[in-house]
This record gives sequence, C-alpha cells and structure tokens, in this order.
Amino acid sequence: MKNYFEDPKVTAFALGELRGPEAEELKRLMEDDDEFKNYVTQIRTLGKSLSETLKKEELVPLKLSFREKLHEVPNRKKFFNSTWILFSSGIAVAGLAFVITTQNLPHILEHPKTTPEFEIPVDKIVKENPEVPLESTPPPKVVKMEDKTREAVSKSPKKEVAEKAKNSKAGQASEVRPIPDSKNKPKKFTSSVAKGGAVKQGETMGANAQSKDVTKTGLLAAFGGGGGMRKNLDKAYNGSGELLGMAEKANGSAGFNENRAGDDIGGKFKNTGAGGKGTATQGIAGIGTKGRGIGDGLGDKNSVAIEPGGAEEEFTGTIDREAVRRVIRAGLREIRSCYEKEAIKNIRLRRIDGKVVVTWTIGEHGRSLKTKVDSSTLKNKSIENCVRDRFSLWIFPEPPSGITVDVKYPIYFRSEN
Amino acid sequence: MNKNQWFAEILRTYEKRLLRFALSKVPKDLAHEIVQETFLRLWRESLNRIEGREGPWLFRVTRNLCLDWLKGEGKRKSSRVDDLPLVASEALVLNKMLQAEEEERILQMIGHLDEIHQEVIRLKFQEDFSYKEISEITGHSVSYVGVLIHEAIVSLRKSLLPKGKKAQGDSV
Repeated sequence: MKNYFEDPKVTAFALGELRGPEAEELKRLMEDDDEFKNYVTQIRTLGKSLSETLKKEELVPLKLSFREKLHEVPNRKKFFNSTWILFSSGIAVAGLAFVITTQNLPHILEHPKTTPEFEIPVDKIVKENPEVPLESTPPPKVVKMEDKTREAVSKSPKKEVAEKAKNSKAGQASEVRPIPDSKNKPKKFTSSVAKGGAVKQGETMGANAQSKDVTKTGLLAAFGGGGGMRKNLDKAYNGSGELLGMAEKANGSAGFNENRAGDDIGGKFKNTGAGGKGTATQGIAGIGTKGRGIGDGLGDKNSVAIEPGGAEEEFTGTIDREAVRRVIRAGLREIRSCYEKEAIKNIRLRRIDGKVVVTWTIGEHGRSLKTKVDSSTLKNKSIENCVRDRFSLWIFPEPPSGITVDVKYPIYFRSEN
Repeated sequence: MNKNQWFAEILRTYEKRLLRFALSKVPKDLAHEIVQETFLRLWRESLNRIEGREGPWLFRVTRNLCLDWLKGEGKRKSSRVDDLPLVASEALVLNKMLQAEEEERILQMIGHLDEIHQEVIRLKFQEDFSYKEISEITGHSVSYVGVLIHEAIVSLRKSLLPKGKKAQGDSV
C-alpha cells in the first residue's frame, strides 16, 4: 500500500477519527511498514503543532455592553415567568371570588375570624352535652333563623349551658366565644343568640363584600379593577402596534438579510411592523445600549421626553443648586438609557409615563449617599432602580466642609409615541 | 441544572471561542454582534433540543451568520463555500507579532489555505471537534470533511517539511 499519502482514511486514522476494521488494518500496517509508520507519525506531529499554535490565538471576550446584555437575557425570561404567575394568580383569585359568589358564602371572606368562634363551641357543646336541647343549637352556618328556633333559643337557659360548657372540654372553646351579655355584646353582624353559633349576616352586607373583594383583589385590582385589565392590555397591545408601525419606516445600517422577518424582539405581536430593513443586524444592535439600529420594532430612541426638576425639588442645606441641576441635566442621557433599556426588553411596557422622585444626600467630595427612590408613578422597578443607581454614581458639587445636603428631585418621563 | 445556569455555563465556555472563530471570518465589530446574536438564539432554543451538543450548534449558527454577512457584502461570488476568496484572519495578523517563528510560519501556511480548508482545520485543531461535529457545523458530509482535512494536512505538510523531504505523496 504505497498510495496512502493520497488516502483521506489514512489522515483520519492518524488523527484518531477512523474506527472499526479499517483502523485495525492500518494499525497492523504501521507495525509492518516503517514508511507508513513515519507518515502517520508526521501527521500526528503536525496535528499537534497545529493544535498548539491555533489554540494560542488570542481569546478575546465579548464587548462589555454585549456581555451585560447577554447576562440580562435569563432575567428577561424570568420577568415573563413572573408575569405569567401574576396573571395566573389573578385569574385564580377571580375564579375563587366567582365560586364564593355562587356558593353564597361571602361571610367567610367578610368576617373570617368570627365564624370559628361560633362553630367550634357549638359543635362541641352538642357532642359533649347531650342534655342540651337540640332546639337550642341551631345548625351551623344557617343565615336565617326560623321563628320557632329563635323562640326556643331565647328560652334556653343561657347561663346553665355556658357553665356546662365551661366545665366540659368545650369550655375552653366557650372562652373563645364570649357568652353574650350586656357587657360583652357580640358584634352587630353576628347573631344575637347566645349559643346559636351561626353568623347572621345581612344579605346586602354579603353582596357588598363580594363586590368589594373581587374588584380590589389580586390582578384585577392591579389593572385598575372592573374592565381595567382588558382595557390596559388593549392599550399596551395597541401601543406595541404603533411602535412596530414606526419600525416599518426605520432603516438599518447593516442588515444581514433585507427580507428576513423580525427576530425576537419586536415584530411578533402583530404582523405589521415586522420586516424592517436590515432586521437581523438591527436586532443585534437594538439590544446593545448604543442603539445602532432602530428598526425591527425597537422604537425610536427619542420616544420619551425626560424632564428633570420642577416644583417638587427640595434642597435641605447650603449648596449651589444650579450646579446640582447641571449635574443632573448632564446625566439625562444615562437616565434615558434606563428607559430605553427597559423598553427594548419588553415592548409591552414601551409606553411608560410617570414620575420618579429620587432623594439622596450630597456628602464629602460631592458624593451621593443614601440614594433612594422616594416615590414613583412609573410602576416599573427596573427603571426606578436604574435611575437610583445613576444618581448614586454622580458626583455633585461639594457642600461646605462638614455639611451634608439632602436633596429631593423629581424626574418626569413622558412617552411621545 | 435549570436553563439559567445552563445558559450561564455555555456563555462562559463558548463566548471567547466563538468570538475567535467569528474573527477568523468577519471584521471585529461584526464578530461581536454575531456572537451576541448566536447566544440570543441559543436562549430561544429549547434546552432539550440542543443539550449535550451545544458546541456544534453554536459554531454552526455563528458560521451561518458570518456567511449571511459575507453574502450581503458581496464577498461571495456564488453559493459555493469553496469559492470564497482567501481572507487573512485578524487573528493571524495579530499573531504575526509573536516571536515564535515556527508558530508564525504555521499560521502563515494556514492563512494560505482556501477558506474552506482553513475552516475545517480551525474546527478540528483549534476547537477539537470531531469529523462528525464539523460535519454538523458546516453542513458538509462527514466523508467530505475527511477529504478537506486530508487535503489541508497534505498541503501543510508539504509547505512545512524541509525541501529535501517533499518527494513523498503530495497531492494538494
């Protein structure tokens, strides 16, 4: 076998890629043929040199901004997960409310503490004190009482029953449920019958309880109650559509493929808006904070107006206020990036309007101390935290020696789309 | 291991290697973007679908994105990969600064190979992928990968051997 120099199988064998009978045959050939053995050894040596040389090529990490974005990717997923959890729990709460409504048990939600007080002792009294007349123990959870029963109850020896209950094991429970008398009256929504145990609730009260609970609980309340959820979801959806529409007009600088549909961010909420020019590259660039491309539904960088300061500014201490304002104005670009970063991450939150009021203390060397968000109407923690972090990094004019200055400063975000 | 941990691990393992691979094909800025896009696509992929063979998958996506760009730039005259003109890699240029003459010589020889040969040589010897994995990354058949590597090896051997020893079996 002298043509092995031209046989790719021999190279594969030398590089350890050949298996089976062919490999066994070449192994035997190596033992018999020194020339072949030398050739295989040369290939292996060359392979080793190639490997060592090529692996010494510089390994460069990704640009910092890209790395940061990639590290944020799992969090973005988490956000969606938590959104779904919130949504599901909202649905569950609404469902529970519906069930309660249909089961006519509003009193359980309305006065959860009162129910056991009446149920437990009565049950025990009935079980452990057979001499207690049955008529005197109305069935638990009966809302309306028959006149007969009411009469029987009113005639029953209250104190005797109470004492028996106290001496028995159930007596402990009777301590939980105070025996009604003139000094210790039950609340007005409970039955006035001493050992009746049933919670008497007016139907109106129950109905009111339902209407309050359902609209002010869980996700429904978070979305503004009533039809708020639907309304706001529609609003968010429409908002996305508008932005995507904008994206159609946008042009990118270096698309991979002009006809490619929008990828990931943007373009998938509605059909319109997908397929801006140079979408793939814009998709990449859009994720970077530099915003090299604005197509693919990523929106215009100037889609929010940011207004710092105003009537709510507060300075406690001696400092050049205008100089402080100048520092903030100079950092507006960073504040804007806080907004854009969030808007890129979640297209549904693109329309964010509101105000973030930041408080901090300007200390030695103009450093920002105890920076926090005092109040916010944005309802977006990521932006709020980002704004707070920016403030904490800035260097303000130094106050007079030994003095710190407390500042309260509002930043207004107004979506212009 | 949940998906977040998995993703972080993959990012740590392949970030620099993918960038090195991309740098051998496209300009620096674009290489960064391409690698980022590759990882974004990885995140969108189902874990079950690619777990255990992330390497070939990532290199394939990176390669395809590089080729997309090359297509867009008109750097490819036809759809055949082996028509690609020789593009000296940035890494090669960087390595010229190294003093190790032999290494530089090897890199120069690699730089003189066709891009299609360069690619398989890098995947085999730089990234330690098997023929099968290279086949998965490039879309070539396993046997064609074997042929390409053989051709590249024969050519390199011919260039690197002392002139007196060139007589035996050199075909490329």
